Amino acid sequence: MWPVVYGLCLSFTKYNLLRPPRFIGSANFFALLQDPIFKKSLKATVLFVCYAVPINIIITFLIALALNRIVKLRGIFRTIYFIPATMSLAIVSLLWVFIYACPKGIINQIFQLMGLSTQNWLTSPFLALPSLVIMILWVDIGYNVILFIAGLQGIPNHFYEAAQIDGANNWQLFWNVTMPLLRPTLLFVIVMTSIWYFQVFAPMQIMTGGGPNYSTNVLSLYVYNNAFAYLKMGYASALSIILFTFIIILTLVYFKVLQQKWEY
Amino acid sequence: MRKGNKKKLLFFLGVSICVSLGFLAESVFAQTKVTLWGHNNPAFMKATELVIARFEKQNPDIKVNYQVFPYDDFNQKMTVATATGTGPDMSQCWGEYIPRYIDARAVASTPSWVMTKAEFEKTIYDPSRGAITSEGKFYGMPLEFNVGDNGIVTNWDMFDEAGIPHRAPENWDELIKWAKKLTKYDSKGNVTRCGFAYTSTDVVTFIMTKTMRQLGRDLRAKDGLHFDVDNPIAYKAMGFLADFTRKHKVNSIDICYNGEGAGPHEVFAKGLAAMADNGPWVIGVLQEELPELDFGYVNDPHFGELPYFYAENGWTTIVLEGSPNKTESWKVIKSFAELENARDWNIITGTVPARKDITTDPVLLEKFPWMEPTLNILPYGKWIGLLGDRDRVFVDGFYMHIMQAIRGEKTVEEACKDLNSFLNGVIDEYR
Repeated sequence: MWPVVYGLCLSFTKYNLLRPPRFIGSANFFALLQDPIFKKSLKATVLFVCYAVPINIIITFLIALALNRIVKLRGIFRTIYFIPATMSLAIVSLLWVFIYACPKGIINQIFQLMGLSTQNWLTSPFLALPSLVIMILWVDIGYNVILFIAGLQGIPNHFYEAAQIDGANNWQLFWNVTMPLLRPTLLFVIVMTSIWYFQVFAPMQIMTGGGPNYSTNVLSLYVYNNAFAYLKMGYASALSIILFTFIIILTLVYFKVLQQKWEY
Repeated sequence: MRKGNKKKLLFFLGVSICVSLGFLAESVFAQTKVTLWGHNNPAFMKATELVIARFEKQNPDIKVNYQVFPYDDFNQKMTVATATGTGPDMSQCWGEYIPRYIDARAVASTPSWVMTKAEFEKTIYDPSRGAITSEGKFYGMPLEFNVGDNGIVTNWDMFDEAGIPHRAPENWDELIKWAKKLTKYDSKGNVTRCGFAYTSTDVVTFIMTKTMRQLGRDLRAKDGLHFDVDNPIAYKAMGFLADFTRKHKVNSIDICYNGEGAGPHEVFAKGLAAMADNGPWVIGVLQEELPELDFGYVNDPHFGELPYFYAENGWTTIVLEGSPNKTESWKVIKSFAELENARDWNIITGTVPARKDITTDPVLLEKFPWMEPTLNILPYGKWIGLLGDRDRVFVDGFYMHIMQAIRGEKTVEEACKDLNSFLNGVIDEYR
């Protein structure tokens, strides 16, 4: 808890590491409200989370459902999906810089073979953020697939058997048995994925540096730059408090909406 | 005394004498170890190691432990280490970062036996001493006169293909004409090879500011501290920059972009630019990394009669106030400032000398003929002034706002107004 408390205290100071912190009240928070780069960073972060979280949940859930039905080779497929999650995010980010390179990256070469024009995946203000979303999804899918598979396998079979006896079809089984009983797992996956995506940092720093034109300058990167590039520790702490507040609010909303009020 | 006891006594006496002699030898030949930090630019490392080797030969009682760090992280490493008291004895430091160390009393002022103040002002160019001078004292010893642009690297093979002579363009119109011949496009009209690459943090800042100065307008307001870039001359300067990409289509911001702030020389080195605007320090980098490339380095054109320009306070070696070996550290730094060492350091790194007497040394031009275009314009350089926060001024300030004008997201006037407001906000925060 101490680092959190210390960060909160620092957010009320002007501090550049080289001189002792100086109390300035809530000046940092007022400055945030007028800071156009903060607004762009907030927008980039919210957009990133709004794109990445739902797509991640849907894709990983569908993959988990499919893998849950496979008996043979299930272990191999699980391993294949999980391998990217075991790789260092920094190395993966560097790898994807080459994959996205224009015009000679792999994706652009495939586009050229298909007769499509090359794209500036990381240097276009419109494409940079979606490109990072795709990269993060590639890395992260395996982890949530494993969690969903564990959740699906934790649902007792007798619920399905009872429903089938009552004449339920596949869709009814899915909607009335699987989804309600998977709710705790779903809540956990959504909360943890959202928290992580709110704090994602390495791909933005390595692949785009926050650009072009702040389109990928997510809050965690802006915190880092303010703290260690601009030596505005107090301001960076204030930004961190704002980020922390967003995450807490979002987590509480998720718990309210998705929490299961019964047990089996 | 028994024979056995005698033998034991002699043995212990012998051991005691040997140990004492060992301690004596260590104290006589004791070396003071001092640590110097630097970044990992290959040419900088080579030059620094050469001077250190010469120094250690002349001063066997001082051992310099030279440690290098990745360029991109160097400033942060230095700041955190200084703040936590784990820093080195001395460090190479970007001049514009030194004011914050001076404010924090974290750097030692240069003693007069290294160089007197009068000698400093007489010997060192103005831009190389601006940021390191405070309240009548100066801090550290400059290694270079940092010329941020003012020159163009040229790919002679591409020039030959396009039938362009191997010389500097006489004016901006001629440069644009050449750039159009050198630019390559794909079937959709997108630039695939820049005729003139220039969109990096430093280069756009220096081109805009020097254009203002050449057109007769100072960068600073009347108080000498705040910026004044909300005026017709500033609009003209920014518009001029934007036109290379928007109107003349000789540059691609996508090709030049590499995480906001990469140098045009990197684009040039990849063969994606025929001309790239950069300071002369890129020559050392290109020679080191691409020795087979046939390239030239020529002057930028300029507006008006004289090639006025602004320059930052470049790389400087400082001694940290917390160093327990200040005298030895200053001896090392004094060695770097000696004529022959300073000249050779500048030749190897491709940097312009901070010392005026070196720029008139014929050996410099003989060993580094590339330097000639830059030496011609040095008298017209002026220190850019206190920046408050160099990175924010250059990156979030000039670069971002100029790019907004280039992309067409704002008009030039809007971009200049916002830039003016931003820059003065940074200055006021620092004060």
